[in-house]
Amino acid sequence: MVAGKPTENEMKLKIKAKLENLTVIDEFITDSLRQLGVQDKVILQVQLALDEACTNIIQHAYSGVEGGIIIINCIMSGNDLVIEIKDWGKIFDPTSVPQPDTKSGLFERKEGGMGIFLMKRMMDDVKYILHPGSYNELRMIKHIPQGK
Amino acid sequence: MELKINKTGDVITVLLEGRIDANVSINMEQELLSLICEDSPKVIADLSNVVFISSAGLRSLIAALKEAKRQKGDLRLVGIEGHVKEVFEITGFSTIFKIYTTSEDAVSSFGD
Repeated sequence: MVAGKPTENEMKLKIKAKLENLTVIDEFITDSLRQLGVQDKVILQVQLALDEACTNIIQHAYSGVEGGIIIINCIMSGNDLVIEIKDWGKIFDPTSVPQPDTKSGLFERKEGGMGIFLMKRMMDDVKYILHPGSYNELRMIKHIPQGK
Repeated sequence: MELKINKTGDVITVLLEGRIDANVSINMEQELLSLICEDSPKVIADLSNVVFISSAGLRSLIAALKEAKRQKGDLRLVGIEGHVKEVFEITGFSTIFKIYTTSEDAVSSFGD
């Protein structure tokens, strides 16, 4: 794990892709956003989006096989918080997963799709960017209101 | 995740704590399913001390709810507040579960 501050408003975490590390990722984003003065309610929303994104990478891009790497960059750009998540696993575009029907009943409700649905609801923008022959990137943006 | 359990008659209250993410939810689901099948299908999950729940945690609670219903019981919830409440509301899960404000209300609801 490598955590550091490449620039004043950019924080980076490089970590092994395994479910046990979700708590480390959680601590990283919480600490980073607290340093930036972001309020707790917003921190919890970003935490959830990041947790869902990294869980997808661990379970789908790396298919649960350990050894993969995830790199998370947290950048404050004006009023926008930009979270870049990079992996070197299989291409898995979570934004292509159909949105779940949140009004369906218990036994009618299909599994899956809830993670990306939560990501989109917690963040203002979620994009999957392919870098062919290199890495996959999920970029999420949250507008941080005045007063954070 | 080690579950803290209280029993009132045939109603089991399970105290969940901390973060319920993909790492702990599999274990939590197994614990809940074994409780439902081995002890009683009338279960209350108290989430007062849960600070975070992801979609994996929600899926495990849904799996437990389905099993409880199959066994002619129910999984009812108490202590849904703050961020956890927000997650339940936007996913529509707050309408799937019966949610109570206090443990006493949740326990007595099984007598209705």
